Amino acid sequence: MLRRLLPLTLVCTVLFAAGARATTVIPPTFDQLVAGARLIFVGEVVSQRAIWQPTPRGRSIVTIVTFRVDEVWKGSLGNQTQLEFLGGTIGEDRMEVVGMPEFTVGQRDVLFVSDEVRTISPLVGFMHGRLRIVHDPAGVDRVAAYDGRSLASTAQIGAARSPSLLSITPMRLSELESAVRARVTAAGRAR
Amino acid sequence: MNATRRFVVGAALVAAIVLTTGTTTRGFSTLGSTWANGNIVMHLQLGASSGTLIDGASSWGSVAESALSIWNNYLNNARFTVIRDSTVSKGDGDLVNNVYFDSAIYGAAFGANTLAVTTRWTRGGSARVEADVIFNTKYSWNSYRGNLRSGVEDFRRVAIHEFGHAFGLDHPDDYGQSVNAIMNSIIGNLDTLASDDIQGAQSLYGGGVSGNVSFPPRNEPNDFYAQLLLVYQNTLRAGQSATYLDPEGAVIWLTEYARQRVGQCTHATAEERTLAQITGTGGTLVCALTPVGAIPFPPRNEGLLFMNDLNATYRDTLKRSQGTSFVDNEGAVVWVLEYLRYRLNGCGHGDAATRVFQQILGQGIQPVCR
Repeated sequence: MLRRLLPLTLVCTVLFAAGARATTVIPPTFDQLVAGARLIFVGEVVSQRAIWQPTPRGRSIVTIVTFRVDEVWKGSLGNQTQLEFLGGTIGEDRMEVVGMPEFTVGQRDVLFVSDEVRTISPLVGFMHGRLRIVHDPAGVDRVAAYDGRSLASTAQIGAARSPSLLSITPMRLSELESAVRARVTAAGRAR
Repeated sequence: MNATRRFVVGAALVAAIVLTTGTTTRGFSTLGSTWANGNIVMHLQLGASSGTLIDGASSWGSVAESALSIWNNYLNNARFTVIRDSTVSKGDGDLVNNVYFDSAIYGAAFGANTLAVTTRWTRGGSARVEADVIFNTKYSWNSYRGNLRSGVEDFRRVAIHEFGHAFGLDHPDDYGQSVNAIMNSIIGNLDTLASDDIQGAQSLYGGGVSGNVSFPPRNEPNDFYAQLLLVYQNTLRAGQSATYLDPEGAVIWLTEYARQRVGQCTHATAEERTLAQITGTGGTLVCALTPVGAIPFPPRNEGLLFMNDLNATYRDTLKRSQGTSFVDNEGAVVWVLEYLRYRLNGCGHGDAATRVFQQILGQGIQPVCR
């Protein structure tokens, strides 16, 4: 019985992993997140506001989110920074880009800010460059993906989703920080 | 880790997969806004392909049109229509639904890894008024079926997914669910709709089913109505009533209203769907299959409400002139529905007409034919 289970396990794993890619976004791996980021910081949303923005073809709504910067893991930043996301609500008009991150005041995240200029989302990999911080009952900060899925390790960032992830122990924020800093340091040495 | 422990981990993983895939609850997710009932006009502005695509399609536009029609099979109260090779301006917030390739989204870059984007505008809460779908020219596109191919994106399945966003579906797997769906945020080898996608579409736009009750061919109710007019004129000596309906219109749309009611639609839904057909924006699906047993028919007052609104539609929307009829609205509703009730319960055309006229002449409700 047990001998039959192993091949079955492998088949299931392959099925879930094969050829997976996001329709709107190809999920970046952890290494791609770090390498593609100009800034990586832990921040708390302190305010946000939506404004009309003229475009070459009409006008759009953008939301400017202001973060209090708690820690900077890559790049340099002051105590506060602002990021601009396409979409938002002004009066009765609401413009959305499906999948665009939405924030609430008081929320803490790890943000991987892209080195690209003037993108619809300033984050690496659109929504994937936002990792959520969850304060567990024991007082430990843990990390989840943009959509709240727990992440056991950095290897799961950008990987195909597996139902087995539902019961994992989420990685600690401190573990993520160590992994990010190690990659940043390694990349610096490689130059 | 020794061999036994690896097997145990393997068994646990299999159990987790079985458990999680077997306990999917709600499935599809929606974006919280919907279009008004009617047509959702998509301006296809995709340009020419560089040759025949892998699946034999001759253009991006034809692939997009095919992707839209896949959804249309399951939409009823709203449906996509297209303007091929549209030359309308591409703009955001202009209430026009543009579908096109570009290297940017209204001046802003896609960002790395982004294949396509759907923007959506809502006004006043949940009323959707615009959706633009933009495909990133940075990628190599083609159109094919089956497993994803390396280095070439499948325009068709991405289009199906994006059009699902355009009318209001979200990613079911972003809500802790594990379902098989093309609307999942991660695309795999699934290249068309899964049942979860279809259920999502139907939840938003009152999708339905093909009716399972056969109605008589159109000429027979028309013939009945012609006889009814003579009975009212010559036997009942009825005066003429003002109406904006012609006899054929009255019969066709009363029959369609009855068909929707027999197909388990409420009065409001049946009326909405029938009147939408008159203006060319409705589908012909009904709400649900009719259960085995006696065919249910709407109460008289609801039929009359429909008839009055139908009359108003002919007057106000179709701008028909006022005419006269020996059969007033109430008589039309009562006796056409009664004729159909006999027909759907086993009576032939002649039998049904005779039974209705017996009722009109005061001989009471006649038994059905089964």
